[in-house]
Amino acid sequence: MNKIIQINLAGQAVSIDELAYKSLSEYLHTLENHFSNTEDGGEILADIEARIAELFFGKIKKGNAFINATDVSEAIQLMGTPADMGIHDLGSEQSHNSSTFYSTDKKLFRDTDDRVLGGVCSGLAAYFNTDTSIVRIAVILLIVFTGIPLIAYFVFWIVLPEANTPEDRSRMYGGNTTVNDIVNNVRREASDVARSVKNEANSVAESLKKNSNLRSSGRSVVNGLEQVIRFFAKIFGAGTLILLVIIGVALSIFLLANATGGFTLNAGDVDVLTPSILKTPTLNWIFSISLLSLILIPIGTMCYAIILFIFNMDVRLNIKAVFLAWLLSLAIFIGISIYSASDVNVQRFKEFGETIRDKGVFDEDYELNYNYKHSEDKLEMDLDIDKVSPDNESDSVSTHSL
Amino acid sequence: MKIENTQSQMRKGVLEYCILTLASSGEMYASDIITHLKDAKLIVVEGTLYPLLTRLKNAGLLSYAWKESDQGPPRKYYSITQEGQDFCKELSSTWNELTHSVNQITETK
Repeated sequence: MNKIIQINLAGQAVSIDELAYKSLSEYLHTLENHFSNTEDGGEILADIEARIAELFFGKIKKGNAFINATDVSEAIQLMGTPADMGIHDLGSEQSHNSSTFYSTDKKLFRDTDDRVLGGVCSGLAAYFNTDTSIVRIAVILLIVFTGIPLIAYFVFWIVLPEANTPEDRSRMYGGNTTVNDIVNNVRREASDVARSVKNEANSVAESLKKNSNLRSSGRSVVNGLEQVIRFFAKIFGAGTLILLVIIGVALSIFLLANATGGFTLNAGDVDVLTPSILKTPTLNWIFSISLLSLILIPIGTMCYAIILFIFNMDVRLNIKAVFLAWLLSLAIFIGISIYSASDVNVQRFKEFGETIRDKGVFDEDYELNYNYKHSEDKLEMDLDIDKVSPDNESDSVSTHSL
Repeated sequence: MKIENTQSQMRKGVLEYCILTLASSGEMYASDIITHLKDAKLIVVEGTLYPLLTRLKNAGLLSYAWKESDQGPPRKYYSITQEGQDFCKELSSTWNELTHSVNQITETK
């Protein structure tokens, strides 16, 4: 249901639908601005208005009760859109101060209809024709990982204008606007406004019932603050997330390598070894995997929760299942550990490690070579410790076989 | 450079001449002028016409009279002045020369 307005068009009384009126008056205002720089602008406008009034008169005579948006569109098409009239028309002495309302230029705005803080990212997204979420992620990552400080965001916030009018909005997205775009825009905004006014009215009524003025304004301050805190929490969460992922991946590689037979890390001059020393390869695998789960399950759930939080989704987890899975890994891990503690091989490896330590290998330059293999039930290990002297000759310090 | 802009410039260039010629055949209302132009396949929107008519009137080449109308507000009916007639004659010879030259240039390469 819309309102009908009575207007005076060139001395004629015309009944016109409210939305149609909006597009008509926008059109006339545009023309007004365009012609206001010319001498005869007033007269030209009057002629145009009179002609439009005549067209409308015809419509009403045909039996319509009022002028609607279609009639207005038709009239505008007939009279000529501002684009048809153009700025560089008739070689006239138009001053180029009159703004080009329907230009094809894109302009960078802030989109305050779609915003977390200030609508900077969605404005950027509209200008570059990308998805808003992608821009937001990129901005957050940029801030966290490069030196571009958060202050840059606030600079953008301050400098960029809000996209308020329908023209602004269409310039934000770029491209030629037609009256239909404007009419649709106006329609959409009208219903948005109607809806939010209704909500506002409801909430005002409710708050009047309950609280005093002071409390509700305090509440809105708190809400605003909450928004800011949430935003920073999200940035922090993103950073933590990345850290957790890195840790998780590193650990996984480490433990999987362990499961498959060990690898050497070169730490300075000392090679660190991770032999798989448990009784059977299968046991090794299970052990490693349980250890992996033990660490990854908590990390994984934290990552999951952070992701949900960042994307404003409901943070819901099946805590029970996750916890049970974790307990299971813990049980397996402890079980295998206890079992292996009594494993002969493990004890020997322990001695092996103590040997190395006691030799003071870590104090000086030693080259440590070892290899081991499982033969039947036994773990055989060969250890060579060579002292590396300044002139690069090596003296063998000791050789151990176990 | 958009072709529509160039094309529109070309049309606008000859529009004054056409309007004056039409007006010399009697009283004309803006809408009538548009119709005549359309019949001759020269498409112009009223928004372009009014500024032009007003300018011609201010230059003394056209004059108008208000006539009541039963189809809405009063209308301006334009007719050509003596000055306008002379102007039109000159434009006519200019036009002929122009078409001649252009044809010659575009036909012989």
